[in-house]
Amino acid sequence: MKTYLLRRLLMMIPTLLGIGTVVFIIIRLAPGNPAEILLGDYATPEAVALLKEKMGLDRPLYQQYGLYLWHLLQGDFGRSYVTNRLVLPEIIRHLPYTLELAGAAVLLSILIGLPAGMVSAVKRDTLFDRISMVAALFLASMPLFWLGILLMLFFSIKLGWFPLIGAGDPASIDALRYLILPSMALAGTPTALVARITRSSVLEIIEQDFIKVARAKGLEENRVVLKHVLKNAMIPVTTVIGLNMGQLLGGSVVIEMVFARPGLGKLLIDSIHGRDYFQVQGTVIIIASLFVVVNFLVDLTYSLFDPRIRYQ
Amino acid sequence: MIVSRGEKVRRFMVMLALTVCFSTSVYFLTESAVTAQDLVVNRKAEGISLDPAKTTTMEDYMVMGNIFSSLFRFKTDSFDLRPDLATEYRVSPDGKTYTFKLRQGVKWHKGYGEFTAEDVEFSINRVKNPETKSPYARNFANVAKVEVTGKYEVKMELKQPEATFLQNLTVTRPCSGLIVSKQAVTKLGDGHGSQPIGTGPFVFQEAVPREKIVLVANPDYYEGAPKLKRITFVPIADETTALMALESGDVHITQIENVRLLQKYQNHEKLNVITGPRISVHMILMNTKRPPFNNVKVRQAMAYAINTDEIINGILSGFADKPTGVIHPQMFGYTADVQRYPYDPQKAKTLLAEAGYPNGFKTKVVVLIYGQWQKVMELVKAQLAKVGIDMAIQMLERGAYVQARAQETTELVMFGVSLPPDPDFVMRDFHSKNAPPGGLNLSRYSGVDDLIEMGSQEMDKAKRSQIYGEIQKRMAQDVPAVVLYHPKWTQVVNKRVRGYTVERMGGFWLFPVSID
Repeated sequence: MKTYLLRRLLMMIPTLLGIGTVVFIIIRLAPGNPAEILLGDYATPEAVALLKEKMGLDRPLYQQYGLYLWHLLQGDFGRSYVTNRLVLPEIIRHLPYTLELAGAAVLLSILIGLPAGMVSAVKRDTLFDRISMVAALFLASMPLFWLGILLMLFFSIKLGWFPLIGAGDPASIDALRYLILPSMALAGTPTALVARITRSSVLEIIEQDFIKVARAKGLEENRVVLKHVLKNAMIPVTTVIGLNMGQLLGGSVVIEMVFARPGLGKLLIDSIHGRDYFQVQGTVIIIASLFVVVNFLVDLTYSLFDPRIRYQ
Repeated sequence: MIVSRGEKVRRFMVMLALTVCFSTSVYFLTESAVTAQDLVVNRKAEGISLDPAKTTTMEDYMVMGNIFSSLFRFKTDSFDLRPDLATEYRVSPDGKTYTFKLRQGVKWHKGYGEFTAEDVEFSINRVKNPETKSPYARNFANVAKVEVTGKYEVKMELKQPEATFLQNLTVTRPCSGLIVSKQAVTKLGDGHGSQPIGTGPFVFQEAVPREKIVLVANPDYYEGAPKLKRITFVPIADETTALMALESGDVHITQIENVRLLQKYQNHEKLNVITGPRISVHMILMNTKRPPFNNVKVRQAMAYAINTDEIINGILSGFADKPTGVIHPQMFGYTADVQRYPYDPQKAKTLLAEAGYPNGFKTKVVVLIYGQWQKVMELVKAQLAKVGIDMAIQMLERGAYVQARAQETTELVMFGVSLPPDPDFVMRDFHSKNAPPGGLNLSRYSGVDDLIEMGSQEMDKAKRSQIYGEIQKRMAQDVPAVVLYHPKWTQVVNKRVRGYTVERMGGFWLFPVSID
């Protein structure tokens, strides 16, 4: 187990370096340069040249790349061209908003999707099953931004229950009021997926011999379902939730734009528009790290659900 | 009645759950109370810096216009200047020396002392200094010397007369004319951009990146304390969201570019749609140095083939003015007495045939992803197709657009600009010395260089007006650009907001504003 953990942790380093390299190249392939964008339409060519030099953009690409890697390995993500602030603290400042949002969406999708899928499977082909599966199909195919706008129209404008924009102070309880609508919008697709996967994997397990044995030995139906069926059905469900974390981080970009939440997604979009190279690189690396870590944790939880899975 | 311990615990838990549910729902249902005179304005995007010498974005200007003052300010109902930090000025007969008397007793925000002539000298020289790397260094390139001639008097010497000099010293875009505090900038250094010190009606309080900028009233403002206590600027990029935030009351004012969204709000119970004159021009620039657009007949054919009425009434719902040329009808020197190009596809075809393109040609337009431009260009494409011109549309985001439009091989560029009202500002972009790279003369036109120079230096109003009349006539013949329309400022404002008018430079002048 220990060697497995160590190996997985070490594997993260080349993964993240690879991601860092790809972002480095892609953002530089995009036409337009930060100095021109920052100085605007009426800057003199001399001012642009001077700024490029200060930004280090006049150096050959391999030198820029070498310096970037060298600093990255020391944990230095550089400074933003636009705000001149250090990249990492800027990311850390925006991170809680995105983590709260993605976390709340995962929680919602489990709280709603899991029971809905289970009940659908146990009460297969009943009215509940039909309705919940159609609802899941509907949720899964709805574009995120549209769902967000619908929620805003209903809960903020019609009912006036929740604030429409912003995020409040992430450390206070007030942030919850701001979190509800965006997390509901973001939870739409994963809830549907969790419900459908839970349903199909429960249906598969429920037919197995050991379930018949459990019932035959006189276990209460609730215990059969909760203890034996659910536990065995959790592996594919966990995989889906884990994979969805990545999509949620991507989806939070859209939701943050719609709800004007000051999270990582908004930071990333702004820095891409400004060709703020270091800020883009740093933000993408942090988002990628989150994804890698979540996947790692998901892999670890498999052994909790199925003791036969042991990591060597 | 005997109640078991388990039952007690169960009852307690139920009561607890009920209390929590009740209190949270009451909490959530209580609308966040907005204190009176607390205005929220959407500035649409994050800015770059609140340092007047550094930023180029409209979003920063919207905030800075309320923090800083300059020597002059535009009147709210016209494009005339009124004194602001300057109380009066004298110009020497040769038009090269300006002497300004300054307002006395003006206090810098947050205890940075009194405003004096030294601050003016410092501000202008700071923009000029290459070390500052100001994008506006060009604006004061003609200033030879700034001299403090008294505590409240400053003299500026120009290399040559400059008709637009006073407008350069005004609160407007570009922001170079905003006066900063010498003491504050020296002390704060680069930090001045994130904690600006001005003399305006509102004092900077805090900025939370991508969330808000908060200003509070300056009770010591020299024209009196503002009625608003607090202004919060929020960056909502999505216009649909912004409009919903106005409906819900979270935001009071926003500018809207997608004018089609406005129809729903024309007769709204809580919101007003207001428009304002905007010195702006949206046009297709044609590369006059490359075939086929190096042929004037082709350019004239383009003008005949494009139906601007259809664009203005169809796509822009009438929220734009019909142009006769690059110079806006409300600009100094405007004349309507120029050659016109009414929609006439037949004439366009004839001209194309005369130019040697009887079957038309293929071309491409470079377009920024902005407002309604994609829809406008799709309509233009359909109109041009009728005369045989096959125009491809390349939609680009800002960084890519800036690069693509300056390329030598680029034939057509959709371009828009909002500038101060003097015609010289827009005409500079048609001088051959400002051809790309480094300049915005994207049509690489050189037909009115002499007149542009004369116009910028002529101090006699009547003569100057004549010069710009001549410029418009020549450009109407040469057609370096097909001017599509002059957009208006289109804003949605909560009906409780009083005393608000559209600021003509695209900012928000909130000193006279209050909330009912």
